[in-house]
Amino acid sequence: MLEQQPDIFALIPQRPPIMMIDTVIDASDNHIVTQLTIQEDNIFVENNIFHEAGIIEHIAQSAAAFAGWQTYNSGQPPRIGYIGEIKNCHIHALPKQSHQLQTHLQLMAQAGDVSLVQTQTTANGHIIADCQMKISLKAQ
Amino acid sequence: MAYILPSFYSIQSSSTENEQTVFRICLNDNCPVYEGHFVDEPVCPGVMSIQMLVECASRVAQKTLYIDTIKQCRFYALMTPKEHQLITAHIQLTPQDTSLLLSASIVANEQTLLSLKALLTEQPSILS
Repeated sequence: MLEQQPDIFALIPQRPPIMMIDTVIDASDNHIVTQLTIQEDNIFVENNIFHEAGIIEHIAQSAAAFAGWQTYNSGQPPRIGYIGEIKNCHIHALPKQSHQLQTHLQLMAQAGDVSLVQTQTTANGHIIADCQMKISLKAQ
Repeated sequence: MAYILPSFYSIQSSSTENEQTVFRICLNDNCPVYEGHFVDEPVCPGVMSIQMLVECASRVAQKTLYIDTIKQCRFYALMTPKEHQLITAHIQLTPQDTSLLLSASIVANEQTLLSLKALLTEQPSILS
């Protein structure tokens, strides 16, 4: 666990209304753990249910936060990361408003500005999604 | 039917030929999502493009469909509401066991921006 939680605005370039991470609770050179509590006014909530697109955006922003973490200590603004590919993304269940999502992201491979990551997401402790993503960082 | 962020796009017309339905779609650059994606640099969030394709598939199937599995989704180029105001979504749905296999793509200016293969379901599990 990190002793001090980093400023999420310094880690990812996304801003409201499409900010899908609240906190980073752990991070290293090859992993990150993020959280999101689903608020009533979240744009991906409909009839109390948080939809698949919201889960996938939360996962993508976890990857963005992982990229941001790599440059966080240098004081640079977060680099914008784009999804290159999503593979074998299984949505097991849809969470509801007020549930807390937690995503564990593990770096599997890295080549230049392209990273391959594997993620698992829980909602209130229940596994709701597994996913692989390829993320490219925008050239500076 | 569920239409998340209805201001993201509007369907102009659609036509079906050889089991493929093509939707002509106009992207709306006033959608509030661009206030945060990204500041001063509007780029369509990849998941919104995927959601749009699932909503088109729901129209074809005439029932609300949800993502069960994204087998593969490739993003070939960035989609932005300024450069890609008019796009086409190509939708093909095939029954597979208890779900529907969606093969879809987004094309603009004769360039494929995104291709998607996904299993869709009518009845997602909802966490209690």
